[in-house]
Amino acid sequence: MEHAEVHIREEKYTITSGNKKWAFGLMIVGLILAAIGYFTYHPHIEGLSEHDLHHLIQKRFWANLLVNGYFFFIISICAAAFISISQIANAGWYIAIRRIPEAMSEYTLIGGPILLIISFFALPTLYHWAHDGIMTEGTSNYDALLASKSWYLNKPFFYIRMVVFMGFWIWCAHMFRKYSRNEDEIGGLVNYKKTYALSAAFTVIFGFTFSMFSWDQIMSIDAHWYSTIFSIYNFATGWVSALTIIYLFTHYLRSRGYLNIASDEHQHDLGKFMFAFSVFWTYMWVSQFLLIWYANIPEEVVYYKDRIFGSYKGWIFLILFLNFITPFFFFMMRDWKRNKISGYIVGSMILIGHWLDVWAMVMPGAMNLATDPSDTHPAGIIKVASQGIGLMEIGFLCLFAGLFLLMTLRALTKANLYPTKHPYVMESALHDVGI
Amino acid sequence: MSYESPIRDQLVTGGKTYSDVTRDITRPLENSPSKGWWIGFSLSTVTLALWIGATTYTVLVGLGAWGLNKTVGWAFDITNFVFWVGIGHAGTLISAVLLLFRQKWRMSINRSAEAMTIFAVICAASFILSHMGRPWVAYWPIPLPNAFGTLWVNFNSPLVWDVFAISTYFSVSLVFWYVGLIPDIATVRDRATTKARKFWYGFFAMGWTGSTRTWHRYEVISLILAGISTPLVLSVHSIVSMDFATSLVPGWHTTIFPPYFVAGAIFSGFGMVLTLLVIAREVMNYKDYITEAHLDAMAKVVMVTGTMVGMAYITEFFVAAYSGVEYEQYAFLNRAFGPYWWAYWTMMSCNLIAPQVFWSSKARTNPTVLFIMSIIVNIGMWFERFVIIVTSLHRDFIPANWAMYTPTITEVTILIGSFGLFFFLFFLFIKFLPSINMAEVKSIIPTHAHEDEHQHHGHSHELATEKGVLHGN
Repeated sequence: MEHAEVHIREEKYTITSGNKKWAFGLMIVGLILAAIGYFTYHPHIEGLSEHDLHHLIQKRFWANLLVNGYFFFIISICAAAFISISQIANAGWYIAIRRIPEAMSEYTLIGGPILLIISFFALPTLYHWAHDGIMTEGTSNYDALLASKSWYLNKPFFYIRMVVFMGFWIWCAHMFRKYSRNEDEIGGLVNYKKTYALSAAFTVIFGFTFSMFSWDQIMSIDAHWYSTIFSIYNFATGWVSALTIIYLFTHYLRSRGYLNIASDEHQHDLGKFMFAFSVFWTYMWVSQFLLIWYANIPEEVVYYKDRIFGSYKGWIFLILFLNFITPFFFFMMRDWKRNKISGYIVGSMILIGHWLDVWAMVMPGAMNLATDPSDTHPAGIIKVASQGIGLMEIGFLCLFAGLFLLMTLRALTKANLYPTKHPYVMESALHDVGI
Repeated sequence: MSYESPIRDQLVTGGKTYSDVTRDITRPLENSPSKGWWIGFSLSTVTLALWIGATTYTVLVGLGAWGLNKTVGWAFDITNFVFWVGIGHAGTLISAVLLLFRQKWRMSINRSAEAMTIFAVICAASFILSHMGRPWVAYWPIPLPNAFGTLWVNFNSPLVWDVFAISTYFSVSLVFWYVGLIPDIATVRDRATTKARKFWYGFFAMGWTGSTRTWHRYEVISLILAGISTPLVLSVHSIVSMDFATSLVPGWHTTIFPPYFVAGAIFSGFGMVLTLLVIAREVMNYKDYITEAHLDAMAKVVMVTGTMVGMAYITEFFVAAYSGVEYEQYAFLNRAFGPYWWAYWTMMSCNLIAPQVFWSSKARTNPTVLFIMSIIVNIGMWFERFVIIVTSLHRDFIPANWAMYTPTITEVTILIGSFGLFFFLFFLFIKFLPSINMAEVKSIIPTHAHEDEHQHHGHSHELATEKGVLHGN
């Protein structure tokens, strides 16, 4: 294998007018679409009162914000997890592309507060357990099961957890970037060692806290339901999506003549990761679905009653197609992982699939209308069938995607495009996947 | 040959040359066994005899020889089965997953870990056979066209999936292990001085010539087998976990079981790898091949997987409390504070708390600490399976049926005896086959030959720079 001469050079990214057009265009178009979607959404569902239908509009609005706020936040925090895990695994190959996840993690600075604000409004609207009086004995909507969860599911504790967890993660992500940028200035191993120590702490704490975070944000929407694998499943979602975005950015930056030390070899390895963790995601999906479906316990299987055997059926199969079949068959081939066009196609499909997956985790529970428990509605909810993907969904997705893009591109300009003085930079520059 | 940063640890120390590697690793094969080997081999043979005796007794008497009762119908047998299957996982992880991740530290430990996998699966299978009560009809779980009309196995049953998963796992592991052995067997063949040795090693070397073409084939087939084995690491223990998780039994039916069992399996497997290798590197003087860097890496894997398993324990406990299902809640309270509380807390302290000692880098490289920890991990993981199986069953749905389970002396003898079976096979392995992959280790030794190789590349001078200099600054 012939290696070309390697030059470690200091690259700076400058935002092009095309970048700005895309980022702001997505945000503006998204905002307009979302507004049109919001004002033109007039659901007509038999048996529901005007008040309920009005409530449904609010629910869809906040549910969309939650889907996107959560999706982009977990992607950016998983980008930080990618740095920390690679660091403690002593990985060398990824140094050429390390600044991309670093830049992605900068979105947390704005994505964290946004998610907090969304939660503040979404809590009484979307989360059944957060309704007034539901945990107070004697009220008409009293739910004994939900009341038994009050030690964990209560508003103050919810906010405390959210602020503490996100605060810690955002601080760690900030420190990773700081150490890394400082390394470009002074070289040596000081920052490498500091990052190593912080990464070990972050990885362990992140493992435990992300679990609770996903239960709080998403699992507690279906407040009666529970699944122990849920948090790992959510981590797989964020992790695969983060890998995919790193992969797409690498293709993009290389095609613009940046990242001179990154090559098809890095693209190939990122592609392998996308392949492997798409299979991992599917493994989690199957573990959760198969065990619940097989045991057929009513309290648990109700989750899939709406999703895979109800009005969300088509979407669930589309998600499985996009998240498993697509990467599995297309990214099994070496050339498809290395080629830019196929990479863009498969990468976009995976991202759409995982966004849809978060949407399908949130929507069925969030769109249910609360009612007083009775013989006809023992769980205290009126089921609302899938409202599909409309302008509101597309609009909010575009808005958040534009914001994420803008934050990441801006962060990319703040430092060299790859760490020039990292102890493993030469390993990465000479990286070769072998046979 | 890829480039390595000078801050990385050397994986072979002591300035070994190619011929040193061959000499060191073929030494146990070409000389009469040491005293230590004879002691170990004799002890394991005696223990194996215990296993044969107790298993034979069970087959002759029937399962009445065990402490099972109407409530606890699965106990020691399945505990031991899951324990041994789990042990095997480290071998596959080291040889397959770490190969895909290009982790070079796997090279001096993969051979013995793979051998361990095969022997552990044999031990596990022995429990499946003996727990059937009528081992002569052991072929019944195999979907064969049969003389009973249209009677087929129940394909809906995870126990049948298990039969497929484990037999696939065993076959693939065996092939993987054997393919990796071929170049080394050829080395032994070429060095053989007697006719018999030449014949037998020559037979198993399958005409290996060492040509570029055969090496190329060897590398391709290794990668393909690694690709096949990697999903197997996950699938085997996932399916084992489904033996429990597809049921309705509180404490068994929980969705985290598949990944949690896999993490536990890798954890227990690394425990056993450490037990074997810490001894082997002392007794066989392999300290230059299984260096402190190897011990450090393995200790880290133990700590990470132990913490993952601990997280699963806590998740289960939390979700049981959160679920509001009183049966779930009772199952977990009963585990922690019921009559088998001591088993639960043994599991917790061995698997979650004890491995935290590896936050200290001194502990990670100290063979004594590692050896003690590896025993603790083995004990902890055995108790984990005992806790899951027995505590969930012994207090089942009708309180009138509640019962305690105590193993009989026969069961305990079979468990102890299974270690005899395992070590008997392992001692034979280290006597007759090279227990470190010579071919792969040679590819990572830092010699002058190494530098020559770099001369062929464009960046030779920069790369051959002395260790300790940072490139690229």
